[in-house]
Amino acid sequence: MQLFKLECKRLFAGFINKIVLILFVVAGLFAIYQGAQGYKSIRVDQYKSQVVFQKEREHVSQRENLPEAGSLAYYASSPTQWQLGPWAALFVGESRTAMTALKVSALSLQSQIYNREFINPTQQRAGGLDLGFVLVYLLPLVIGILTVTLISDEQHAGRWRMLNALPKSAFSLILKQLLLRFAVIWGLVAGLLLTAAWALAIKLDALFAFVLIACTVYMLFWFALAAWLMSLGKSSVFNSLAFLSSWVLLAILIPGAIHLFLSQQFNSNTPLQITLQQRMTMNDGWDKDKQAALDAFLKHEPTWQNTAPLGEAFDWKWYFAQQHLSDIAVEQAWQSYLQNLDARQTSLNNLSKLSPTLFFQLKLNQLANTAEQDRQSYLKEVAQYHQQVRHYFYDFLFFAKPISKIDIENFPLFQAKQPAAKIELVALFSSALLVLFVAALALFRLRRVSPV
Amino acid sequence: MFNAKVTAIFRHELASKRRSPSLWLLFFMMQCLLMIALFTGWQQYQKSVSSQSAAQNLVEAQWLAQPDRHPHRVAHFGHFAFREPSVLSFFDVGVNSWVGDSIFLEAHKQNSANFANDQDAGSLLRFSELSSANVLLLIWPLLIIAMGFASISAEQSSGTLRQLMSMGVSFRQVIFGKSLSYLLLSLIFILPVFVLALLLAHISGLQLSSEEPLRLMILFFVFLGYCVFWIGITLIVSSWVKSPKQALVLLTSIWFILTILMPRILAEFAHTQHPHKARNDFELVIKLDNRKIGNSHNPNDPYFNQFKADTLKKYNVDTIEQLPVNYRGLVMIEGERLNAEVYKKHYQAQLEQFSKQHAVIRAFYWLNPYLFVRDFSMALTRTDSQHFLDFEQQAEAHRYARIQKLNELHTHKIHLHNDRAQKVSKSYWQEFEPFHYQAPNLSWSLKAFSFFWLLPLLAIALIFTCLVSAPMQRRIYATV
Repeated sequence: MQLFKLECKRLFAGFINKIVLILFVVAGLFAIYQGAQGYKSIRVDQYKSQVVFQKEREHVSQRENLPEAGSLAYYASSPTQWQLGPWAALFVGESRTAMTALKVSALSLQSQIYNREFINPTQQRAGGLDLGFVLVYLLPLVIGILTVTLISDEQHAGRWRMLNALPKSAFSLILKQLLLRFAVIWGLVAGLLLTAAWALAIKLDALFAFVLIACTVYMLFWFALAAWLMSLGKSSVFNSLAFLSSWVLLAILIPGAIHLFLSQQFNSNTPLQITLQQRMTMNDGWDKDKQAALDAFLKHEPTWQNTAPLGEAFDWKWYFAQQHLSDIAVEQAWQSYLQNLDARQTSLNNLSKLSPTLFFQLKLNQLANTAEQDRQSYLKEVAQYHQQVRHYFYDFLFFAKPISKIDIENFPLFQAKQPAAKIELVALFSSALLVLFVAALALFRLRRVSPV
Repeated sequence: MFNAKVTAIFRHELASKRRSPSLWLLFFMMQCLLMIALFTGWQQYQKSVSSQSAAQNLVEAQWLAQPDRHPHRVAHFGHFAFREPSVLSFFDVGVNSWVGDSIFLEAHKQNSANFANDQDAGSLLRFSELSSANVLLLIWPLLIIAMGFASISAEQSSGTLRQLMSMGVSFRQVIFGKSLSYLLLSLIFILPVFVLALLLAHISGLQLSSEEPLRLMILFFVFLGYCVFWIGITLIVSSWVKSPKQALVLLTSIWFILTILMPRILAEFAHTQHPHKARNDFELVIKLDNRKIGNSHNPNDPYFNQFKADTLKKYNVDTIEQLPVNYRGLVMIEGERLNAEVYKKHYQAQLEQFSKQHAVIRAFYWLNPYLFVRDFSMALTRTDSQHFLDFEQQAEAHRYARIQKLNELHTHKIHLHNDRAQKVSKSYWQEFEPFHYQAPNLSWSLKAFSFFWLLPLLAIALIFTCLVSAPMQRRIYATV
């Protein structure tokens, strides 16, 4: 017990140790606060979009003469939402730069889905500070500063030889010191997560436990790395520099290199080409045979094939048929673009195994449903909903059914899919096993550090 | 000041660094990293230029190849504005990943710049790209720290400082000699990448105005100044802290706070303090404001009824059918004008929020030169938000001019009766100027900095004054 007290005193005695721990907690709390603010504004945006839609709908149904279906379909845009839970406040991923409440109308899909959120690019360039950043990038440095010079400091102070001569080996002493540091840092991490859970009303369920265990495994990795560096028996300065270099490599250089590789490999200007082609198809339609266009459309949508042929005057049904044809014209390019994105994701997921830091970051984002994959599945949901909206209007457009107030009440609303729980036990177990193996190896080596 | 003793210390420091194999290795690796960053940046730049200009040519050709059409159809057909990356963007990618490259220009509506390149940014771009500027900003300071953290503290603990001083070398001379040697090493280190950048800029040719070399040169001196700042910090910590290990830990902590933690905290804080509108809110207020003005399609709209009365009075006729021009065209012109005004008002408000956010960051230039150099480098390479927003504004001006020209055609070449069925000759499409983004000149690029560049210089001066100040000397002399 006395030894424990002494060790605690030693841990908190160093000026730098104290500063680093305080910095970690302050950065964590700040990140939680900022994350909560950002999350709130996303939710407000999503909620507001629904309210605005309801108001517009009321406004339309209160009119004496309801607008004709074509004009309604042209102007009515209804909200969708990227379903994000409170974890998205902590691991923001792509949720701050992409639209989280995209509006769609029955016009062509491709002219609507590439809109971007209004961002201050300078702010994004700075890199953002969410709890994920604190846990993934700051945490390892805290571990490094607190541990990596433990043995070399003893050696430097000349105590190492003496400690080795004691009946209880120096190894057990070092182990205790490491355990103490692990416990303190773990306590801070758990404290931050609990604070976040309290502030954001996150349930203390299996997912929470999963995040905590994942953090523990990640911490263990950096402790193992530190122990391994200590076991080399080099000077404090060497250890510190080596630890810092590993961090720079894993946190900055490898992800940077992967980004370069992925942009070389997968970047395409397909979305631009899609947009250009879609626009051409839509506009050229005005100068072409409209009945032929309608017939072509009906081949794709046979449900409405019994519609009356077109007259001389402008007809909304041709307009919306042409809108859909312009989507069909780029359908293949769109699908291959989605495949390209998928391939990019697969590549990234494979490459991320090169850096535990990147791997952990990706997993946290995936867990919060804010990763790029989640953005893509949101886009696919939007595409499905767009079809629903289209089909809703087609009855009125092609069968010349007058639109009634009840129809407006029955307008289909976007149903966000509840994202499946993303507890990846396999990934956790395999990385835990790997980390435990590395840790055991490091401890084994540490045991044999000769007294200098 | 500059005498034999300083030269001797300078030479000695260089020689000791030359003998260190790990430093050589780090140097070599860093040079490789810089070269890879520069080269891939250049490849990306070229790829992006060729795809942008191909797309720009394509939309110009599509515009010119249009058949006879009603001008308002053409206004809805619209046009695209492309933002070619700036020549030096391969050196500093800046915010380019976060912003779109192209804007769809159409009637009644101001679209956003789309197709940004930021997939996976939430996990891969947390330290921004591996661009040359970023490597120099983030990683090079670490090497300066690695070179110099022990320079004073180790001499102190090994007793060589005492010997030096007993030989009549003053502490100032030690500092001066060592600073010079690190500065020379920094110079040797960062010069190749700038020379290569100049070369690559020269190869990519075409756009290279006489301004680019000047920009690169200024950039070079700014980065050299940045090196001086880190040399100063390293020496001051190394002098103040007794043990080399503690100096190293303290220096890396300072590095982490200045280059990683503080920029993020400030950016987030600035955003919460001066929030800008989200896209949906922005579009909503514009829609509501436009509705308030009036609906040109509504025959009973008060604003447009007044407009009608004024127009009739102006031409001194009783009905719109008697007008010598097409009344619908006039309504289009008026509608577009009002709509653009509303948009501009709200867009300016957004810009104001952005600049308030930036002011928060700028207020810390004196404390953290990293922020200054980062922003200054982006401004010099035309890759900061300011330049992107300038593109957006040029594109909007072009959109407005193009649409109004079409509306003029509508007014003068289309008759009111049976308006929709008429077309104008395709020869008119040839009269439209293509969109070319006019890259701003140097003084525009740097105007946001006016006298702010003085602040980091002041910080550097302060550091060196501290280094040679009396208290520092007392501390050193007391412990040797």
